[in-house]
Parts: sequence; C-alpha cells; structure tokens
Amino acid sequence: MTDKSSSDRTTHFGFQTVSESEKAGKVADVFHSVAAKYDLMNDLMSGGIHRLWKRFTIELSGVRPGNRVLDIAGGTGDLSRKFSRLVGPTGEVVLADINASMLKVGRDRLLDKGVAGNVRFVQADAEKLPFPDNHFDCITIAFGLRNVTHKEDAIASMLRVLKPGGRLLVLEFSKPGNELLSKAYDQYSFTMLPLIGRVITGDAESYRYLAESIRMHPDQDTLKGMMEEAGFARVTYHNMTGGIVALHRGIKP
Amino acid sequence: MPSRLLLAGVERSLALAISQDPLTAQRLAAMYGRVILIRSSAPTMSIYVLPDDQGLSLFSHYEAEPDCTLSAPASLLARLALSSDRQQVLKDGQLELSGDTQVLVQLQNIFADLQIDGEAALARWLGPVAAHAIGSLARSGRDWLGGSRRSLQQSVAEYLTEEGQQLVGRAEADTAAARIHELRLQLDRLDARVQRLLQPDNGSDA
Repeated sequence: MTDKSSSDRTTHFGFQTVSESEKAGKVADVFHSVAAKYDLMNDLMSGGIHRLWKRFTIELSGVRPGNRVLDIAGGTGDLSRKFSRLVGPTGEVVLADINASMLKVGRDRLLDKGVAGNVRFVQADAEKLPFPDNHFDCITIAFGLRNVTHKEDAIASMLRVLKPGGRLLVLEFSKPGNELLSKAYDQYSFTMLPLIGRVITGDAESYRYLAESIRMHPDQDTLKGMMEEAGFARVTYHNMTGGIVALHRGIKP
Repeated sequence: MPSRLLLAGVERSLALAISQDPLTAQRLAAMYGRVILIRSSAPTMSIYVLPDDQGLSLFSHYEAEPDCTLSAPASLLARLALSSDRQQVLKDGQLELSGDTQVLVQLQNIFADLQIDGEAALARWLGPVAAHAIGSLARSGRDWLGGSRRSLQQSVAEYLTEEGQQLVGRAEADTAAARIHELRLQLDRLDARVQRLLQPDNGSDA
C-alpha cells in the first residue's frame, strides 16, 4: 500500500489540471505579476464595488477596540487598514499573505497611509498558520480562499487559531443566482478581464486565471458545508451583487 | 448597498475636513471606543457613528451596544445637522434620545467648533504666499457675497411691502393672524351654542 505523494496528486489551476506541488508556484507567479497594479485593477474590474463588499465584511466582523484580528491573503491591506482603526492602540491586526510581493505592496501602502503601531505583517501559508491556538477574535480571508490548494486544511487551520466565539469571514467570488446575470458575468469575465489585464498590466494570462479560478471555486452552499464540516457553528452567507460575491460567516464554538 | 455607498462618501468627506483641523482630530480621538446610533424613520436607516483620531467611521450595521441612540424622522435629523439653533430642534417631540446623551452633545460640540484651515492645505501645494493671496481673495469674496445677499433680501422685502404693496409687513401679518385666531374661537363658541339650542330638551330640569 503506497500513499500518493503531493507531486502525483492533482488539483485545478483555473481550468487546467496541475500537480498539487505546482499550483502554489503558479498562483505565486500570478500575484507577483499583478501586485504592483493590484488596487487599480480591482477598481477597474469591479467598478469600485469591491470597496463596498469589503465595507460589509467589516460591518459583520463585530471587531471592537482591543481585539486581535488576522487578515489572511490581506493583499494591499484594504481590510487591515480599517481593522487597525477599529481595534485601536490596545488591539492588534496581523496582515498575512503567502505572496511576498503582495505583502510588500500592502506594507508600503499602509505605512504610506500612516497605519502603524498595531499592524504586523507576516508571510504565512493559510493551510499552516504560524500562530498559537485560540489566538484571534476575528479572521478574514477576502478573495484568497479560491487560490488555496487545500481549502479544507486552510479552514481547519483558521478554526484552530480562532478563539472560541471568534468569527471567520470568507469574502469570495461565488455563483450568481440569476441565469441571465450569470451569462452576462461569464461574458464579462472571459472577454473583458483578460483585456483590461493586458492593457493595464501587460498580463492577460493572470486575469484569465482569475476568471477561471472563480468558476472552479465552490458555490455558496458547498462552502457553507465545508465550514460546517470543519467545525464552525452558525454558518451563514450573504450574497452581494446578485451572488457574484458571497460573504460567509462562521463562529468557532 | 446604496446606503453603504452614501456612508462611504460622507465618511471620506469628513475625514478630509478633519485632516485640516488637528484640534478636532484630537478631540475625536478622546471619544475613541464610543458608539452612537442614529436611527432615522421615513426613510428607515440606521447609522452607527464611531469616532477616532482620523474622523468618524460610519456603518449601517455594527454588532455592539451603542452608548447613545438618537431616533427621529430624516427631515428632523437634517434640520438638527444644519440648524444654527440646535437646542430648539432638540426640543421637538418627534426626537428620541436614549443612553448617555453626553456622548452626542460632545460630538455635536466638536463639529460645531470644526474650523477647516483651507489656507494651510493650499499652502502645502502652492506655498504660503500664494495660499494667503488666494485665501484673502476667497474671504473678501465670501464677505461681499454675504453683504450682497443681505442687502438684496432687504431691498426685495421693502419693495414687496412698501412700494408694490404685494405683501404685508411682519407686524401687520401678526395682528391679522391674532384677529383670525380670535374670530375662529368666537365661531367655535357660537357653533357650540347653536348645537346646544338644537338639541331636544331631555326634560332633566323639569
């Protein structure tokens, strides 16, 4: 009896099937490529609506002064900046990202905005979070979970480092509820996103991957089931913009 | 979503204004940790206000017990925000206050004292001499506009009441209103007396 090694096991990278060991490297290449113009691209692609999706995430986070917050796949620090204001000098925000380029852009951006003192920057893999058990009051992962190779491992790792009663918020692209909207969204994703990517960053492939990875990501109910399976209680989700994006929330019992 | 968009816009504008007045930022920082809930009816909307040194965070939902809650119709809230005589507006019966009202008064005082130093902001980009010149021009323009507005108001009022005889003056209007009020009372009394006379005698006094 032999176990399959990770180089034999396969997973998806957009619509391609690649070995598990390859995926992390390929995702890293995508984000190294887009890091410098990540914010501009987000604004262009979503028409700025991503800021409202993130605002809703903050509202549901229940973060208060003195709390400890982990912002996984924090990218350019949109959520961390707001959390830093909410937790105040007695709290702490950890901006974690597996990608060094994204982390560097996020750190520079927050420092330029004068956000310092209660924010730490950590390069970390969501599947193996380097933090003690029962450590955070709230964890967010915004537009990051679909890039993780073993989503179940990442969710279990988040559960471990959350305090009992703590909240996990997963903000991620999902499945539109309306068929017509879904078709229009498909058209937009597979034609406009690579085009905008090519014009702005000179990299159409990364944005084709973005569109493909969204289609391969679990839908609202599947992700809810995965969170419940991992051990989260009172898991709920809120669709936004017709289900193009969903915010899942679960509580550690 | 539209309310979030609106709140994001207001929050950003306030942050910009507060960044031009360090004293206001300091006073807001002292209120850090306080939560004020403003609840409007018609249209129904809730705004959670969280002050800190960068301004106010405004949320349509926040999972914490507010220190102070202010509930009123939207029109009254707008009057409260814009009126120069806030004490008068606060006496309105439709306005409800609960919790630590001192927190609201404190926030109101901070914004009443807000003085945006536009000249300092301009000086950062254009230098002090140019900023002062533009500031002086803006101030004299504002004074001239204010004076012209008052003068125009007075002239129009005089023309309509004295020259054109289109409107009556305030004193005449008040006297007429008092007479109409008295006449209405007399009519009510007369109406009551007629009703009494029309009622058939029930013979209770017989």
